[in-house]
Amino acid sequence: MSFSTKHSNSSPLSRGSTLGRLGIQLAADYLGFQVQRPFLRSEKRELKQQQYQRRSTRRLCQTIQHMKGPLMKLGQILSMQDNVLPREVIEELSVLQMQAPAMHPTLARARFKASLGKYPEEIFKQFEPEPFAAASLGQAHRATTFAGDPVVVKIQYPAMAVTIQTDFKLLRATLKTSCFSSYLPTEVIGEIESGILKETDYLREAANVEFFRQQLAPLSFVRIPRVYREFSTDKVITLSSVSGMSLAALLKTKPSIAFRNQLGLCLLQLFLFQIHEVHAFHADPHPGNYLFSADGSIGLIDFGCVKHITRDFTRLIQAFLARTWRQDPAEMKHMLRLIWGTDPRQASPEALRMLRTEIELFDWVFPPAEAGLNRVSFDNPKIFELGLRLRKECLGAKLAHKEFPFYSRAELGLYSYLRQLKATLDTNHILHSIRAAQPNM
Amino acid sequence: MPIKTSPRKRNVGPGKAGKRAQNKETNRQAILKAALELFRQKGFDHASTREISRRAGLAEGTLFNYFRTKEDLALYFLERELVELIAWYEHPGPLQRAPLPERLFAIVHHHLEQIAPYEDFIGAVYLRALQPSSKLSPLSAERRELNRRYLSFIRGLLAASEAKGELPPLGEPGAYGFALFHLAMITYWLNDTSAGKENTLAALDRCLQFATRLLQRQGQWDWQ
Repeated sequence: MSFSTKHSNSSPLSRGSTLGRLGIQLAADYLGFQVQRPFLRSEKRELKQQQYQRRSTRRLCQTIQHMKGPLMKLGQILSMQDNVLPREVIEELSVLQMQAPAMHPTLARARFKASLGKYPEEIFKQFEPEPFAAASLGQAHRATTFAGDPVVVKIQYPAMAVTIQTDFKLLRATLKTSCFSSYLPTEVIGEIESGILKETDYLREAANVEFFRQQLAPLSFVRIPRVYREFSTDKVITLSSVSGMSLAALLKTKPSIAFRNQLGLCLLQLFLFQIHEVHAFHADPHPGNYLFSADGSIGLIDFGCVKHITRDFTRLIQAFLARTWRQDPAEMKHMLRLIWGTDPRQASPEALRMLRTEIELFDWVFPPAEAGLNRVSFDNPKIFELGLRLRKECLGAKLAHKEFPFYSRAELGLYSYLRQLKATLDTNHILHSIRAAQPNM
Repeated sequence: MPIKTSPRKRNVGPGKAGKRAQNKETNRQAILKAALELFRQKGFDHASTREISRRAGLAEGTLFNYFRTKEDLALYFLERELVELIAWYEHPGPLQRAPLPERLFAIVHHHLEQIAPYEDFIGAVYLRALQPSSKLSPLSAERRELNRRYLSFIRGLLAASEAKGELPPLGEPGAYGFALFHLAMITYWLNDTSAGKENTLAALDRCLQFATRLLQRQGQWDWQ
């Protein structure tokens, strides 16, 4: 795999000027729309507004597609938010996921030494100077330890934290020039920035990998890499190699319906086990992070974005699953308090709308007994649509639990995989088997 | 009739002159080693020539036969580093086939690695070099030969890239431009307090990528 640097805007000067021009273009688009607005009929106005938003989003996406580093990461995150962005833009952004420009071998080597104090060839029996995969914050090289173990060495681009802060400052300034920021809320940008900044500490990721490797051990179908602490720092992480292919590559092999259903079952089990047993979940359902094998096992990699769930949030989920609260006004009040943390009367209409969507989605995924449905087909677009709507709504609702946006992102990632697999599952059976294993349920 | 040969002519070892030159170089290196150790302990300005000669195991008068001042010592250090840098670069290996930005990156980075153990000393040398009357000043007569060798090395490297079409014809100004950039990077590196001097790595890479792209487009930057 080769990595072209042809279109990357890697110098701060060019990145700044590119964002500056983007700001001017967005402002011009916005002004153009505002000038036309008073003269348009309401339906035409809505159409024009949609056109303006699509054009602005496209400009933003095209720009960040050409930016190396953190803004590319922002693009990746936005590409997961299907309904927030138009379909053609998501298709453009999905290309970003494997096209980060690479460090040349001399820089990667220098970076490795600056972090570990020795050159790769002094630490490994074999080290491939060319990366086999690129990520926005780093790139991955294959290596073999002196003990003969195949490993993956992820090396971070130098000075990423500074670049992230500069890029986000520039991006905020850019979005201020137009009202585009209302389309992409500043809180969302802030949340993404702090998330990406945390991802620059690979030792944090190492701790996450070790935690999940231990906690997910009861699920025999899950493969988690092992951390080589002696060859890892905050900027370089060495992990055992995990084999497998992306879901798209697996689907090209035309797997049988039974196999797809089996994989779907494993994915749902994995998600529910993380929520109900581990109380922490892998929050980056990026297609490159799930590696599927012909034996039905699933390799889980990249633990840079992980969310630990508070006891309160776990209690909320468990109460939500019981369904009985929907009929009992006292329990309903309690549920609303669990969600918003304050007087339920203060809940905003957006938040109540979100709750309704969540109930509807839950009933589609885990049908109530009276519906008489044993198996749920994830090929049904309704489930994914509701997931998308929920994702959009939860970003606008002020909830007591900060975990919710991450939870909905992981949940949406799950439904996206299940939809692609066209899996048909007995979801209630899976849920009950996981809940039955819990002592307090 | 057998040809008579004198025993002196059969001697295969270095001649007297060669041996003398070898001894001279050994002494020079012993003095530099002692000086660098002292500079690291006491700093360039506070280490005296008497202390240097004592540490090198030589009489102070002998030291003056080799280096008249500490600035001469610093010039010898710079010269030795340059010779080593050129020899390292010209050694056959995968770097020779790498794209130009990577090769230029490797040159500056290798130089920084070489001088890293003497960071304080280099800092003092750079401060001295700012004084026009100093032998260490880039414009001094004493540095002319050193500058010529460096510029000829860089010029040769850029000329090869120009011949391959990697760069537009830059001529002498190209080598001067890179020399200035190299100096600027050393100054940046000296002031870089980031862990593992990662900011220097980033700045070096980004500047070279940007400059090469700009030159390849002959200044006509395609902003799209």
